[in-house]
Amino acid sequence: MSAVRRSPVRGLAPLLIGVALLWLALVVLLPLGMVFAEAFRRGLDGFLDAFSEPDAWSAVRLTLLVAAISVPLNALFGLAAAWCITRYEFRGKALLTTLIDLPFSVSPVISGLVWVLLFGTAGWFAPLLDALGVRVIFTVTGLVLATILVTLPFVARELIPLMQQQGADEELAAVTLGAGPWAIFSRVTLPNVRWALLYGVLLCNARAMGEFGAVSVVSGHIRGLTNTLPLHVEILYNEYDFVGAFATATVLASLALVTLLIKSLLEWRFADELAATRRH
Amino acid sequence: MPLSIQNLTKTFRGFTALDAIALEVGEGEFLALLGPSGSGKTTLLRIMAGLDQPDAGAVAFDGEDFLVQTPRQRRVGLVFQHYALFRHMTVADNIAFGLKVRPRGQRPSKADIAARVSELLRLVQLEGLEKRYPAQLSGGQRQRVALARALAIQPRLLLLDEPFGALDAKVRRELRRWLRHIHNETGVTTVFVTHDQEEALDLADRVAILKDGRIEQVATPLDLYQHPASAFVHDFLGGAVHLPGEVVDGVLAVDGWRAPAPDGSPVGPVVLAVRGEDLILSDGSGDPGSDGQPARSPLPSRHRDRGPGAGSRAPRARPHCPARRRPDRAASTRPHPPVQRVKRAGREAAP
Repeated sequence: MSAVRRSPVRGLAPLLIGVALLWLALVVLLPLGMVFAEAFRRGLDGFLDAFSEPDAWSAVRLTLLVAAISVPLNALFGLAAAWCITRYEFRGKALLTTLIDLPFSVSPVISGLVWVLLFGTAGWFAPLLDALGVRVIFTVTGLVLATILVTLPFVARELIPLMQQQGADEELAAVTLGAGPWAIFSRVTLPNVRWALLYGVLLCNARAMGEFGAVSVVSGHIRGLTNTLPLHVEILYNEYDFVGAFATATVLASLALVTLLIKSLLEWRFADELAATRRH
Repeated sequence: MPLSIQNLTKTFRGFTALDAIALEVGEGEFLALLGPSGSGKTTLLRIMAGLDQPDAGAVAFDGEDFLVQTPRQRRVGLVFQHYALFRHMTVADNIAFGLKVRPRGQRPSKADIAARVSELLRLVQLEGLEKRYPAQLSGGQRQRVALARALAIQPRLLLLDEPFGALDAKVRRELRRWLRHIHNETGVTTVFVTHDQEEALDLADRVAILKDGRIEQVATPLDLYQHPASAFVHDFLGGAVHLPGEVVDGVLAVDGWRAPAPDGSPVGPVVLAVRGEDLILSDGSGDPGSDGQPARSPLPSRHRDRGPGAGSRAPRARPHCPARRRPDRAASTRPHPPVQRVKRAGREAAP
């Protein structure tokens, strides 16, 4: 026990830690374990069977493609939005901040549905899209749009509080030292927020790969064409291919674990620098 | 005058931050902008640095119009109150920043930059700390890095925005002396913002007193102290009591006490503003006695020329127009603190 007790109640800490661990085990570890247990219920062969069909691989490829498009776009948007909100005063700033949060509070199904209402066969822009011969709904474009909308706040939400706390003084100092806009951004702004940016990107990526609701609405579930990994899992499950469903789910779960691992590794590797820059 | 400011006006949403400011700063001069908070000091500094644009007026340096120049063209070094060091860069990288971001062609070679950095580290007495990050330095050390960074671009004009405002009193005093020492070595024209009258009087060649966006008076510390242009200036410099009185026929009467009024005193009801140090107590026999001691003056010792009894023998009445005494110009020949002393300050300031 440390010499300084922060809580006035003796012996409360072990109890609270115990409750937290138990709860974590119950709602996180147990389900996660179940996914792997079910996936290997018929052994390694049963597990590998799930990946023998080409649809599974196309789902993996599609998921990676959608994430590869939407995550960089939202990283750029998040940086721009955070810069704008923390460095400038303008009318409607509070509204913009609220709007950025909106996708968090709106059901993902709605986030998918709006694209159908806009670009679907009976949507507002249907005549225009017909004339151009472009299709959005039931295509990769639709999947990307839905994913971008759902994952929009992640990077911005990570950056805004940090950039607010850091203030603009370092950038102003760079201005007086003769730095141009690009030098200020690349040498001052970006390095100062790189950890928050990375964290936001990882969260954004995890959500982009795992998103189900919004993607499900615009996908049309065309096998091999518009089925992402989460949708593929659902289809297999509905077809009573439980082992296949769980085996595919392990890929998603592993992506999440790898994300977590990368984050921990980076934090460990750059612990000194992180401590130095945070204490400032 | 290299720096010339004329008719400078700036308003923020109806609030007048600067109201027709006119100011000249001479080559190599150390000028303090002194005023209460909200008086427009920092706004004036930001406009000189190019971080803000005025609504009207002109700022010229060596005949060049500053207002049309970018901060880079101006070559102005700015030191912030909260240092604003680049937190992810080492001390050496911080100092080198202004040189590294120069466009190719104007950028010094790597070796030249390294040489300049170590030269500046020596100047600010931080040798050996070049690999540290700002978070690993004390407040006083950080501010010295900030100064070295500002000096690295060889500024034509050095601006300091309450540079010691976030430091404790002891470190402040040490750094103040040291800053004056650096100024004497580099000779760069310097404008220094502060709300601490002692700091301004101690450091500057001349002090400009600001109030509500206007300049009340610009003068040497001694002139300012002895010949304040307004009650505000007299009061702001501190240590004064205000007594109601009356001047009739060249005689000043305050609370039953009478003395000849100084030349040029207004007639009628007046306010007598007196500093404690100008009063000498006596036993009432009319002779103040040889051991009458003036109270301690807030004016830094370099401006004081009087020992006990050196001043006039009677309390001098000064309704803002005291009798002129020859200023002591010991200020210009004042010895600077030895280097060892500053070094000691640096170590003591370290965590």
